[in-house]
Amino acid sequence: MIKRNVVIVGGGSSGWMAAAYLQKALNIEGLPDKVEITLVESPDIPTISVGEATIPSIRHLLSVIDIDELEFIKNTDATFKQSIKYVNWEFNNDSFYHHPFSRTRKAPLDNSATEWLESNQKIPFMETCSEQPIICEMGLAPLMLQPWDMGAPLTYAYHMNAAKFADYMRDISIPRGVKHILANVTDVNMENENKISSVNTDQGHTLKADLFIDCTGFRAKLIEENLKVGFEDCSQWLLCDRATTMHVPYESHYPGVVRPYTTATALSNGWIWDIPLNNKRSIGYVHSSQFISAEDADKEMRAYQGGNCDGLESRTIHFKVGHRKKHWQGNCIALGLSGGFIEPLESTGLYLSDLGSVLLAEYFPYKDEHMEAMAYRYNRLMKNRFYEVLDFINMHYCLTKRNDTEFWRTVQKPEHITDRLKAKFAYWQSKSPTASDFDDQSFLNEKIQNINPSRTLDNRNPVDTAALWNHESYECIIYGMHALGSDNVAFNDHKPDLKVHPYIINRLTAAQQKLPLHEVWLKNIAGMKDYPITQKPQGWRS
Amino acid sequence: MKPTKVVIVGGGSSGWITAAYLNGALNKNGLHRKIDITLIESPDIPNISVGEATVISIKHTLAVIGIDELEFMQATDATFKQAIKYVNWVENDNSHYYHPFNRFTQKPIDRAIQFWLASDKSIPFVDTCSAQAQICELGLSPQTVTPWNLGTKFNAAYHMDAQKFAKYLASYSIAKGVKYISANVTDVELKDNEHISCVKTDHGQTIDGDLFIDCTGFRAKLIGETLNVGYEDFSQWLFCDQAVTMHVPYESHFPGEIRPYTTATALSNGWIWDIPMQHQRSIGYVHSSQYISEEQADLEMRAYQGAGCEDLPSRTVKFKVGRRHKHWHGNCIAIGLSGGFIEPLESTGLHLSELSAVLLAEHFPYNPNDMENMAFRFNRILSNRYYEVLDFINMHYCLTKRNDTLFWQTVQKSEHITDRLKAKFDFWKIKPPSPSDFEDQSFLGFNHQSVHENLANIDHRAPVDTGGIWNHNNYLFILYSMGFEKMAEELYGDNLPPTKISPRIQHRLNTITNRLPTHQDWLIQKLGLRPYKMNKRPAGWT
Repeated sequence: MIKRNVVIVGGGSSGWMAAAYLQKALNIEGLPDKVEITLVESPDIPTISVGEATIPSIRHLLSVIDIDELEFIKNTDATFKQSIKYVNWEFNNDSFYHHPFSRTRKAPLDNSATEWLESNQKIPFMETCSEQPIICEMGLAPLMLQPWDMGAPLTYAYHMNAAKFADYMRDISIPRGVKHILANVTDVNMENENKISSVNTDQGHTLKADLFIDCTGFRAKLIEENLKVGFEDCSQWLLCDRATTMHVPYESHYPGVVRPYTTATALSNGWIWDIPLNNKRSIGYVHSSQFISAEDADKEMRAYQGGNCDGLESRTIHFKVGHRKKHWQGNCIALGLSGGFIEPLESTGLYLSDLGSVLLAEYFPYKDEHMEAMAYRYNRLMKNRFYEVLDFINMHYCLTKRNDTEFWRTVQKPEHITDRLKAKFAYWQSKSPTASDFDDQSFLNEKIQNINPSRTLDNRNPVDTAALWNHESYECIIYGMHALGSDNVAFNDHKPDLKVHPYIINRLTAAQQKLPLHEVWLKNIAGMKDYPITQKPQGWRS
Repeated sequence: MKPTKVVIVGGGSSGWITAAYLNGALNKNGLHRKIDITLIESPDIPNISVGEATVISIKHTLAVIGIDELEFMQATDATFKQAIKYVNWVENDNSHYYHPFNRFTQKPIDRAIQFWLASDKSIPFVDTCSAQAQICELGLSPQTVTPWNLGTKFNAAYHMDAQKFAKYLASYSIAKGVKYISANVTDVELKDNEHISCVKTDHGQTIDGDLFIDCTGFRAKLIGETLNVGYEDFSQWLFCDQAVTMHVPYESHFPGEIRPYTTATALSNGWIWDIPMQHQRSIGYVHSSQYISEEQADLEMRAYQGAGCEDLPSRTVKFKVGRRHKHWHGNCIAIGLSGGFIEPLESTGLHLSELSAVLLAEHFPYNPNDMENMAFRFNRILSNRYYEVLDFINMHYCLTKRNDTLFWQTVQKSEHITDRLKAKFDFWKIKPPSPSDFEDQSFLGFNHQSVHENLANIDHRAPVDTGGIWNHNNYLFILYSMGFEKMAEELYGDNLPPTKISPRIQHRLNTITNRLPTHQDWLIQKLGLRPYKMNKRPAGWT
């Protein structure tokens, strides 16, 4: 029987998510290997609590951790998220498009993109292949009050209170055997430059482990301060480096609806997230300090909310966009902000921690001799994923046609677009995105870096394997922003109306009959309180 | 925009699959013509008709073409194929294992292999997570005569008469607008050294086109003879270069059942396929001329069938194992044997032609300026797939423990195992194959430099296994049916508990087996097959 020890330094959503997941994924009844997990967190350092919207991968996580969905929703003030609504990203004219989770794929061949491009494009692209955008606009929940009988389910994730989420993960994990130590780590004892042997705490502990997970946030106490693994700055591609945030409680400011989606509205020098929980909204203006001051950003955010929000507190958070050069070095793994950060324009903040935990369970090093081979795989996939996210967010910006401020004029410039993305765009000018584009993705005119024949092969182009977003998601953003596509069309002469597939029309009809309003579901099933309705936010114009 | 002119030179299964598929995918079967297809077939050159077992992709192909399953089965003498049964590949002792299409995967994390490795392995791994092997052993049909109501379906492909298949596709396609010319191509005229302008026939016709597809078989009249694109020889890895084949009619030699699977029995110097169709079995001894003569091979094949087959004619087919350096060169695409060949140990022959047609439809160059970009992607994916097939077949051989002949002793030697496969084995010795292994696959220590110095105008990257055909589940089946656990690292020690079959599989077997008809009964009831009388069971059937 193999027994291994893991010490997680740092709590918060990343640390506790990892503890909960690994505890369940690595200790299986009937299998002889056991992994003992200890989480040591400071009682003093506050956790960053901005990661509040999620993507469907969270449902795998919760399933492995074996949590009842309703219990989870109640414990984290959660609401449903079916989509992200992007407002004013193409033009500053109250236009919008949805990036929903569900999409119908016609069998045996799906030619949605080609058909739309050949049509007069009067119907927004995503509405021709998904019923979910309209379901979102109607404010409906993705679940019925009664057991589901609408055929194929709607895919969804959650908005949740990240601090409560961390606490909930903690409260589940400790009874299951995760050891919890509330103390500050003082020393990190190294066996050699790549191997941590133990950490000391200010309470006199010496915690030994086979594997250490660094969840100390941007500070990266283990991986950077001790293992000296550097940070790759990605600010050339994503200009935002600060967020001004505010909670808008329903107690005083209930807009009358709980949107079943996240809203991301482009503002003068960045964008504002609008995330509904069951008792408040979290809004945050992600902006670039190069282009707008913190004071002006705060004003612009409050103008978005409108009405009487002077009494509400706001706070500003600085962040570094980029990633750790290697996530797994020696016997130390960076998880969460210590591993990197990209602005949450596609709600990927928690995802990278989620992914790190899932991959670690799959590539768990049961013997020290295996560490290098496992780390090699882990690092490759984490790096690929980071760049996949970077490129996708980059795309959201650079496809804009806005030129009303210097910020928007700048994000379109070629020097702020990654080479990978440029290669994708050039290719998709001749053919709309298809599944095979993500099978060993590389394009003819792309600069293919010289392959380094040395063992570790870290200096290679990342590969987009469509792990997060496949061709359908790219189609959604590209055609949502009316970009590319002019060369794709085989027959340019006559652009007819597009007939939406009856399947989608039927789903919409059924949805209207069977799906409750989001807030009705929350009140009836999840115990959401009744609130007096006040004004809608100023920024909710579309 | 005028429809693109596609000229297919050569018929047979590859030519007609391409014609039918492109017509179905791009012309909506004649309603909205984006391409004009002409197929030129020689009335003299006989088709090679060895490609008779298929894989699941055939169902997508038929669906796009628009062919109903029952009609197809009637027209091609088809039967079902649920698995390949490998006999005598590990030891020459009448042992066998199955590689079925179906597998039950536990959600959210499947640990079937871990549980099996932590058990005494008294039940084959395949049987712990798939009911299909048992269904095959019992000779049962994967479908019921009445509409299916037995839960998850059993995935099945087909055995079929490839010549009848080609003829069926031909009449179907011609009725839906494909132009057919029965003539010999005498000249191929070039625009430049990469582009064909037209072909001339012995009837005095000149057929020009935008895109030319070479389905002329091993001869490769267009891509090889005219455009001089080279061929990479795979014989260092796969020794077999000949097959002696025979049809064994049920009229005189009915073996008592129609097996719902392909059998691949290892013989002294290769292996024999045993493919059951509606009225006859097709058997073929794939062997290496270096190790056994044609005459000896013929004798050994007849011994497999048993006494009483002296009057049945046999014929020998020679083949070159390998692949075309570039499948799409200029405006010419090699599909079928002109593009390469690997022995049909996993029934991949037709699949590679289907894949070519699918990829061509997806990457269709409506605009000639896009040809190079499309060709680059097409070549990348297809070459990856050829290497994927090569490595998988290589694995079947090199994991043998047989040493009864020089042939079996030699296939195990390190110099006949591809580097990619060795790298996979090294990694999987420390961790069994898992899903993420096929994402951006590469392992620590593996040298990625391409082995092809002579491929000047393609990117020089080594091929990547993207799990296009087989994922970790398929590797798990072969590895652990061939005793790989004895080569791998010991994690679990001694005193292991007895192997358990997943309760779900057990339940399936308990409830389903007496509700499925035998394969023969299904064929009789649904396709009007006449019942054959038991004549003699082949000597080689274990």
